[in-house]
Amino acid sequence: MFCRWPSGHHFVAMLIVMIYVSSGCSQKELTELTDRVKTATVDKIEEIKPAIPMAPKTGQFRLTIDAPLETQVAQISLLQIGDGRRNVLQLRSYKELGKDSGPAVFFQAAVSADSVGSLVGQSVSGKMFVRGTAGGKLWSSVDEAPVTLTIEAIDGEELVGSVTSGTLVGTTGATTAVSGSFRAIISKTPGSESALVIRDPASLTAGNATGGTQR
Amino acid sequence: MKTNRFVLFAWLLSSAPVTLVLGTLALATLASATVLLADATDRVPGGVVNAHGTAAEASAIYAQAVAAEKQLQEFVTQAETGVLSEQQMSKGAMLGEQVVWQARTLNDYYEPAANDLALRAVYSQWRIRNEIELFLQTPRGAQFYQRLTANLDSPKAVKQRAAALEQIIKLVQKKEFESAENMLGKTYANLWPDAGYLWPAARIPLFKPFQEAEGIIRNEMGQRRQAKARAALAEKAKLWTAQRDTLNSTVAEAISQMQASGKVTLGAQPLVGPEALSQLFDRWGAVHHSLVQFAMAQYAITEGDQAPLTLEADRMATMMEKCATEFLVADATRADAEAAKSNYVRYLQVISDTANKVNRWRNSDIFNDAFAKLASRAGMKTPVESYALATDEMMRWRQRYALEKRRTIEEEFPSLETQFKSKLLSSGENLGLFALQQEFPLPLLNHSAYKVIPNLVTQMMKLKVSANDVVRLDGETPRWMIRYHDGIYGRLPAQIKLESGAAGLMNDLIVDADHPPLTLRATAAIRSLERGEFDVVGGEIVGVEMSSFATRFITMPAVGAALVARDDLPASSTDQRGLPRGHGLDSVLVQFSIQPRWVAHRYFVSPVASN
Repeated sequence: MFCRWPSGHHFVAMLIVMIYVSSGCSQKELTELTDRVKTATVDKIEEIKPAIPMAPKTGQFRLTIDAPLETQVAQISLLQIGDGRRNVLQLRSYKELGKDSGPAVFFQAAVSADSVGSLVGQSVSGKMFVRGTAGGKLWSSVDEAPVTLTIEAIDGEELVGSVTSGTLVGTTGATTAVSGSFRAIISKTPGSESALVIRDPASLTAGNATGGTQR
Repeated sequence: MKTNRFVLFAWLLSSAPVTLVLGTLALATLASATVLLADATDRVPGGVVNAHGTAAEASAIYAQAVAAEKQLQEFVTQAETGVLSEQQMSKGAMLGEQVVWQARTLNDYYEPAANDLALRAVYSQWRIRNEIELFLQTPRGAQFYQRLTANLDSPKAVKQRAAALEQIIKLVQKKEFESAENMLGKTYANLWPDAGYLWPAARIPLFKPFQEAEGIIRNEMGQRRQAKARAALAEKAKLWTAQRDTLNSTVAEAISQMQASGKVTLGAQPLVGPEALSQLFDRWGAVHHSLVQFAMAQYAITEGDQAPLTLEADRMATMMEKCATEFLVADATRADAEAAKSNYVRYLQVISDTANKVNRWRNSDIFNDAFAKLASRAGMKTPVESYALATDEMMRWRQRYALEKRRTIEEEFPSLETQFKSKLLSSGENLGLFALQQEFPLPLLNHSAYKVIPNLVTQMMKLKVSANDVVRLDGETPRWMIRYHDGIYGRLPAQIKLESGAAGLMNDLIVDADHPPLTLRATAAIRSLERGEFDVVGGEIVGVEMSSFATRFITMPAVGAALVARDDLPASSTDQRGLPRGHGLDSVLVQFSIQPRWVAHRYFVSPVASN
């Protein structure tokens, strides 16, 4: 029973039940007592709740490439261009376009789905770039062998999925398998992202790459 | 008038007896003190640098000199493997003097070929003189010499020379210098087959009576030829400025027509905006080509400052930038949605193709606002913004990855420019194109081409290198070159086939036959792929060719204009390392032929397919 250390209100409830059992009572009394304890515990938690600020969800990647890689942000959006071409599923580990720092993940795939929700239970193949933790090494999937993700579920505002299969190639030619999971915040309004237009390509040099938005 | 190293040794050479008195010593001195230009290649090391022919008369003289020099070379080659007949030695001596004479004439026309021809002739003269001296030491030679001097000293011959001199002096007095020069040339041509055998003590008295007249004639004719070259330069200036003015007024008129009617009449038919813009861009290319030709002729002839002309190139780029923006805005103001939509995509293609030819348009956002206005007019605001969101970040990652991958590969294929400058730095036995203390940024022939060419071949052939800016020359048959930069440009095979990269880029930019790219950045990515214009190419050097810097650009055909960026000039004075003034006649450029192994597009790196 205690092979796993219980946590939170379950622990409090079990402690009370154990004390009661050891004093020797009937099954009915035991059930009533358990229910009362449950209620009391929930009430207690409700009382405490405002005192604990709930951190906003930011999503997360937990990948294994040549070394484990974890990011504190993951967001996913489905971009609909609306001129008859395929839609684009974009998954990334940073909030502002053009502004990743440290370990970073970028995945993009052309899809026919027109909502993120309709992708649940499906696999999506696309191009993945990763900037790893070890010396900021860059990895990319090759055109001929895309990385496949499985979209597993929607949990509130998060989309949960895993990297099902894929191989990444480093800029020196080294290869590594990629696997892992992610919980990505579903970005509903991609058009409102702040770095929509990068006005100064010069600011995007070296580690931040070059680029910018040009129409 | 500018000083020219040629003048010093041409004077020495022209005073033939003096030259030969100096003999071997003179050759050694001249070879180190002067500059030899040679359009030599790994395959034709004896090639002669082309004439630019700014003064039309120079071209004919150049052709004669090249033919004479070729014959002279044949005698030299024969002398090195066997012996020359008396007839050949006589003719060789005469041809040597003729080529020197013609070289000096070409120098008066500011032809870089002059230096090349003169030093070749000096070497040939020295080589043939060696043969003559060996011959004179034989009994047969001694007898030949006696007969020859007896003939030259005969009363008949003395009288003939006196008559010729008298006629020349009369022509000089009448200021008929061209006739006087012809007469002097004929007289020398008759004398040299025999005079070439004479020991200096005998030769000096033979030519001395002509020297005063010769000096006057050369000075006068030299000034006339220089004046002709300068007049031809002034004509080139007129031509280019007239073309510039026409372009200015055509562009102004086109903008007002666009604003008034949304159409522009440049020929017979009114054109929609993008098509008119495309034609105007082509006209701009032609005017820039004229500017390059004029600027380089000026560089050869007056060695003048290139800064004002570079500003002209820049000003034209600014004008065309404004023109493109005004066209976009005009269509955004008055075109109906359907026309705006089709024009939008076409403008992207037209502007991105030209943007690759203009340094400050590449990777620039200057047209963003105007394109955004046209997209709104076309009802494409949302698709364009969504497309940008769906592709900009992909391109940023692709570019970052391609750049890092390229840098890894470049460790094995170092920069051509860096290799060239380090391997052709003169030191000790290495007779290169850059002197240790040389502040001038471009390569100069500081040593004889006979030494430099083999060294260039030894140092650079088969070397693995990478070079920036592959450009497509849109002739009847397209060609691919490496854009000119710092004394170097490059030649590539007819078609570079990639092993990979193209389909992946199209896929990542969500482009297919029915769905073109919707931003300028993505359009540039796809168009550069289609046109085979890559950021970098890496491969092995399989050929070298050295030319006169000025001549190469003065004679560059229109199709080669893409070798120079539209907002720049070959000898740009905006170069941060200082103004490359001077050396109009002795700076060279080297063309490397490269067998490509890989290319770096901005958004991917691919090996080149082997067949």
